[in-house]
Amino acid sequence: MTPENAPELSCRELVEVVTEYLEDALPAAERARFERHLVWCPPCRVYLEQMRQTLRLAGRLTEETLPRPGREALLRAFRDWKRGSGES
Amino acid sequence: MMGTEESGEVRALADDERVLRGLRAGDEAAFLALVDRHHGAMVRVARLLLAPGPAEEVVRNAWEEFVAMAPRLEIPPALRTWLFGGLVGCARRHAEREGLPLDLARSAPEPALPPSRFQPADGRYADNWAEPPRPWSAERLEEAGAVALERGLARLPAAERASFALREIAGFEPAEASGILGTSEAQHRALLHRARSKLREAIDEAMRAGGEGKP
Repeated sequence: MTPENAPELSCRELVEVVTEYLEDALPAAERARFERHLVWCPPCRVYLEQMRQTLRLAGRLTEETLPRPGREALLRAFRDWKRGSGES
Repeated sequence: MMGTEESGEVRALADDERVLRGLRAGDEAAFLALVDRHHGAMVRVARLLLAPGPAEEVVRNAWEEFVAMAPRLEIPPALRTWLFGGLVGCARRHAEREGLPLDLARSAPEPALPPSRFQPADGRYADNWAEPPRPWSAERLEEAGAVALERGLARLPAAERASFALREIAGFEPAEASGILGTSEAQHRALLHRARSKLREAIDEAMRAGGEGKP
């Protein structure tokens, strides 16, 4: 179907393809249809922005302080392997 | 052409090879640098696959397996992908031992939002918003967003949480994430979509609750 004769995307449809849009996985014609909908639909623009805000917030979880690696225990495992491979 | 991306990939591979050479030679500094680079994200992902308690143990197991295997590898796969693949394997085995096997490929299909959020399909404004989303206050998002997101994550089915963790927390590309999880890319994207939609909704709930009583 060409973009010209494709029916307008509904809001209900838009929220179901928003991940494909953000992941850049929509075919060009579908992408154009998505963006045409956004032009006249402020609530869907709000929805899309909230999706982006959600992902930005999730990205920040990664930067949180994380527990110390317990490097000593891991280093011991590495030393055990060294010893083992030296003997074989 | 995607020249810059390619050279990034080539650089990463050269980096992996250097690390593996160091490991084979028993270089402890090379090993610790690898731990420092990946351990944090591995714990974070393991906590989302399992619970905080067993996560630490499972990550340690994954490193032990890695130490036993990696130095023997002649042609290195992408090291990071391999580390997280091992981690997911360890998490699966842990869950099986506990009698609660993880299904990381499937969750119940459901719409992104409850049907009541939209106008009925036979009405004049069919499938348009019945209850349009309202913008979030930046201040309120800063205050309460992260807690709401964590709460939302805890409520997700395991498969949705796993896809979300690998894509958004560990930052894998869809092809890598689906490889690690043993799903098709389409399955992974569907799981990711349900996860993201529910998490947005969880934050939205908190934003609306906070808005009450405020001018």
